[in-house]
Amino acid sequence: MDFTMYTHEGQSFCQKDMENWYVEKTTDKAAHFLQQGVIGKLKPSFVSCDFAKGESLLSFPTQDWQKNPHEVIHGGVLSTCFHTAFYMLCGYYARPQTLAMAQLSVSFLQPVFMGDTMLFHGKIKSFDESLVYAEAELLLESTGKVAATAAAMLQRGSAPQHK
Amino acid sequence: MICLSDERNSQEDMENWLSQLGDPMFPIVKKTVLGALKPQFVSCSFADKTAEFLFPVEDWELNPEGGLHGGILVTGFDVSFGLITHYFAKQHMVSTVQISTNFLKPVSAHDNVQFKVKINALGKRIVSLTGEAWTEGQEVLAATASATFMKLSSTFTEPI
Repeated sequence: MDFTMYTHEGQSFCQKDMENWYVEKTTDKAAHFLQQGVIGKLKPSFVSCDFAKGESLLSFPTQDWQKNPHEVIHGGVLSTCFHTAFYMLCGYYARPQTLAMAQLSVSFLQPVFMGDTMLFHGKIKSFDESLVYAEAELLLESTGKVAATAAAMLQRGSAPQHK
Repeated sequence: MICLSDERNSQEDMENWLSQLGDPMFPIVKKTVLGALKPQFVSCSFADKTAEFLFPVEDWELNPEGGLHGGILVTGFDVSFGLITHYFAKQHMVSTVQISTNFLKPVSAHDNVQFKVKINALGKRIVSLTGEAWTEGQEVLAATASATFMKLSSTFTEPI
């Protein structure tokens, strides 16, 4: 995707605006985004983004509560991180409209051990009036290996997003 | 604590093992994300390889819009698939290989979600499953999922 000339409903879109949006979403403790629910519990951090290419990189720490009976991070938690990363990336371009996840598919390649940091690299592959398709990889900070991959289809709504 | 054994395979044994979900000392629950999710055993069929679990929607599981976060719905499926796979894998560890979820309807805060899961194919190493997530009262089909699990050669150090 090339978002270089992207505009939508009078919103400002550029590299600097995207960086500011991500920083606001992941660091402002008063932000609705972090205040309520599981996203704040996951503690996402903004690493980088590329507005023109429709890409982002978020990091999530591994936490004790996320373990499965094998003492590695539960696949459902990884799926929740993917879901969050997709929602944030696609939500930036879809605003002020809401997005709803229609389908999420995750493949698990390597275990994620406690103490590691998870890096989610997302990329929008298709973006039109109704549907957004994106793919992502979970990279392990310790080894640089791909621990999981995911693909998502999201539906654009008409209602405005929460700020 | 009732542990899984290759020598015991029956409806009664399956019910007895899964009924321990409410016990915080149950090895599958202890110190894992299942403790936070609080799944409850509803029913199972050893012959049909099916099971049902109930998950309450709690405040920490919500998304910014105030509904159940889609990732938690996937986690509910993963946990439910994992539990039924564990029963048939006995003391062998299992791992999710792939899980695909279709989101059909939003789930409200403070609702309860019933996960109905089924093993469609049980191989020596690969297990294929499908499932449905219904809001309480089975009035609304909120999501469907399919998954592939792998039975690993390694076994649990503490019996489950």
